[in-house]
Amino acid sequence: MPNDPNGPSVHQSAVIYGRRDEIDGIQREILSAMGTSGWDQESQFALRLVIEEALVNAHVHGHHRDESKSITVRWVVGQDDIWLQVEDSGGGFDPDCVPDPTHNYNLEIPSGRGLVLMRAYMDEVSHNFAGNQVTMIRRRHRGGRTPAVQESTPS
Amino acid sequence: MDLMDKSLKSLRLSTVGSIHKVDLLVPHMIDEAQIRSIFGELHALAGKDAKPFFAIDFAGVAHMSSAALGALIKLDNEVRPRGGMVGLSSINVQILTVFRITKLDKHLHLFATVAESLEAIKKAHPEA
Repeated sequence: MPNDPNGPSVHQSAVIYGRRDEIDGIQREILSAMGTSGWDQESQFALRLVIEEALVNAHVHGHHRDESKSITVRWVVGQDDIWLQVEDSGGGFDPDCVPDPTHNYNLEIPSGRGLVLMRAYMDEVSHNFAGNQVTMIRRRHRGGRTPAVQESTPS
Repeated sequence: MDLMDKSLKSLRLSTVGSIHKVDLLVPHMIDEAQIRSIFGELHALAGKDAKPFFAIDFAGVAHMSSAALGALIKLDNEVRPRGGMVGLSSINVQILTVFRITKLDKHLHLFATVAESLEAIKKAHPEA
């Protein structure tokens, strides 16, 4: 778990079982810490989404919605980066075997976009060998990694 | 313009011609049960029409997850093969980025305003 040399950081961990109120609680805690550390709205949107995707993936795919199985969440909210780790109790998966939902042939498939969003919104995403733990980092200075957004909606 | 109004907890439904105009009233479309409930209602409507048309407005939505994206794709998958159309409008900049990351901005029909969405559906399908 990294330490932030440039200022105070919030280190926390929690064990949850995939219930909606627990996921909401984790999101509230991390977003509150981000607000205190001056992270902007775009980053808060990103983390809210990434936390949602990681925890729902753990509960739905890792545990097949079994609320007796635990998910361990660890996070550090620092001045320069945010470190987040989600570990489930399931058998794991191979992230390289997940079909790319952005491929033209897969656009009509209604699932599998959580991993794409995590990789887009975080600067580093890695899985352990077993495939039941994902570790992610988002940096405050992303070097223009966030996709450009235009003012108008395409029609 | 609206022939029928029906207020539900998570969405407001009205009709414009044969187009179902849907105002989403859930600021955070992340809860699976809520998403299932909303889209269950829309699938039920689609099931009643030979050619379903939907103009879904996101003005009230600040956040959504991949579960909501999946639900939109399922609705589009049901409507499109039957000659219908789903138009999405008033999507905020942050959610629009989610559509772009997943390349669904090229697959689904996105419009700046609900008026443009309705107009595009009527232009493509004068019978709507």
